Amino acid sequence: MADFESTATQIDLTRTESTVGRENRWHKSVWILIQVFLWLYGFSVVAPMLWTVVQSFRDSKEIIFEPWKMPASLLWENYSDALVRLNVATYFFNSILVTTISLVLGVLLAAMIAYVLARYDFFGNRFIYYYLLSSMVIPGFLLAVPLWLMIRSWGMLNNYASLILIYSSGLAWSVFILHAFFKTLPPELEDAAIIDGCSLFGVWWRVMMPLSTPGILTVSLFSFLGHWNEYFWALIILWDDAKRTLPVGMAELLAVQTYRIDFGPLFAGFVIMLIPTLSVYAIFQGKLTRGITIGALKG
Amino acid sequence: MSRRFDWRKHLFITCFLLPGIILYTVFVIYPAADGLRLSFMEWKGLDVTQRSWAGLTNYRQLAFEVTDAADLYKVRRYLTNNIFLFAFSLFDFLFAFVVAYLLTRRPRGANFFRIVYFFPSILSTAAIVIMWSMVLNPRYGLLNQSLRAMGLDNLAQPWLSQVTMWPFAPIILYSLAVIGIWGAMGSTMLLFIAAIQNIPEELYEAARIDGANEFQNFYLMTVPLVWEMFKTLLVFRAIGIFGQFTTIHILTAHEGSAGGGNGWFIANYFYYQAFSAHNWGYASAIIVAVLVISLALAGITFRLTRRETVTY
Repeated sequence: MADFESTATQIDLTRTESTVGRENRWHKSVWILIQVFLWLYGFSVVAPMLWTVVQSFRDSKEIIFEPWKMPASLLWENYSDALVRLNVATYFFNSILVTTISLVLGVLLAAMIAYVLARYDFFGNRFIYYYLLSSMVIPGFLLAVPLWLMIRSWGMLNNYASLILIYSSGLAWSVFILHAFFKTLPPELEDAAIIDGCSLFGVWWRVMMPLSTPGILTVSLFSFLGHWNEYFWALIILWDDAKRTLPVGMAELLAVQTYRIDFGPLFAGFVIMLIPTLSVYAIFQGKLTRGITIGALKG
Repeated sequence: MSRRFDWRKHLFITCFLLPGIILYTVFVIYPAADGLRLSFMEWKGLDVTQRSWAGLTNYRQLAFEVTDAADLYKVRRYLTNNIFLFAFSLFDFLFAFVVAYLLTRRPRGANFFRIVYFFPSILSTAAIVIMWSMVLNPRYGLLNQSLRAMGLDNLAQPWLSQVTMWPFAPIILYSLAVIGIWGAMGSTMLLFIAAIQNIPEELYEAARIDGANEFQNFYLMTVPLVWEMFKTLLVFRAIGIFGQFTTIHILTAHEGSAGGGNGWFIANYFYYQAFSAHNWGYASAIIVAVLVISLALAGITFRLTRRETVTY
């Protein structure tokens, strides 16, 4: 496990006395300039989001004509409007449904494949591994037309099942990460479990899966973000308004609400859209940060 | 272990591999091969009987549209927009690298800044575009209202216009380039931080003892040692840049431009040909051609950024 974690660099920028921080010979004024720059950029990252939160409590008239006046009262109706009248609650629920099922299915299938490939030596093992990785160089748009036509011929367009299967089939990256993870677990554990009378399936489910929780969690997080944020497939597969996922539904609302000159609920809908991502980030910030750098250094 | 064929083991392996492999083959590999096949076919509309082999017709049509002197089909415009955004990503990387370097010098609050800067990277493209289209809205947007509040009315622009041309590209592409930096800078920065932190501290110590100053350390050690990372990012960006679709699709889908606007990317043209015009064969040919172009661009980028590899 130590091996796996070290493929990702521990990113930690806390001040430590022994290293560069103390030895740095930059002048004090340079440090002040750096601080100003860092705060300014930080402000430009946060300001647009804060602005949307403020606007989400106002009505269209205030938003257009009184941009700098603090609202007299908070318009909570914007939120109920967005959730009920503009269907954001439906989109939200649809996104949760599609994301959760795809996540469980995709990670489970990837974990099964990765485990067998990492642990069993059989004819074609390498071939299957590279066969799976080959999708990393295939552009998604190349699949769009044939896949859409295929799903159409099955009569499965506008159906969650198709979208879920498409999402789960993108398992190359998960297999890649979990394969590396299973390789780091000591094989003696399996031998011991077999001797204790565990079935082959039992070894995987009761011994290996619990041990690889960190790897599974990393893969699940990135799958979650990938499915939750996905736009293109959701756009071409689902078209009933009541079936739309959050990104597609909100993009549609952006146009519709601008046309209606009804901005408050639009802002509220956007804030609702931010909340899950923000929560995931608040809980798993460190995990996500390390996940980004897995495999990025030294192959 | 005996060399006897172990049925139990092989049954287990098959049961574990098969579901995933079948799903993957049906939903990824087969469609990819089919896409390649379709690019050599003439197929308009949804009726399968209207399908026939057409040899290179689709590719010839594309070559004709690209070389058309007046650029009536705007295909050159779309490709230029992709390249424009790619060129702009140099600023993206440069900025991310400078920020990463400053943060590894451990200023006060470095971890706090890192956490804040990274957040936009995990937002969906849709969320980023929706937010920025509100910020840049000419009427109620934060940017123009701030400019007006400061009395800089003449600086207020129709930031999301496809019609107003600035040098090389319509104004909306400049906006998209800046939005791109806002959205992607965080993850690029993290990769640079990881690369910088991977350089052994002793190297700097040794250089310092030899009398190198901070600037020399930066220019002669940090920059060459993270060059590989810069190169890798650029090559990946060269391939990824042709996947640009969502941003402009969300921003312009309702402008009712049947033939396509000035701000489109090539993938938006693909989407139009496929899902509005139902020219399945031609749309597939566009994507295959784009794949070739993107690999060529990646190759060129790889060549241009080649320099003596420095290791430690």
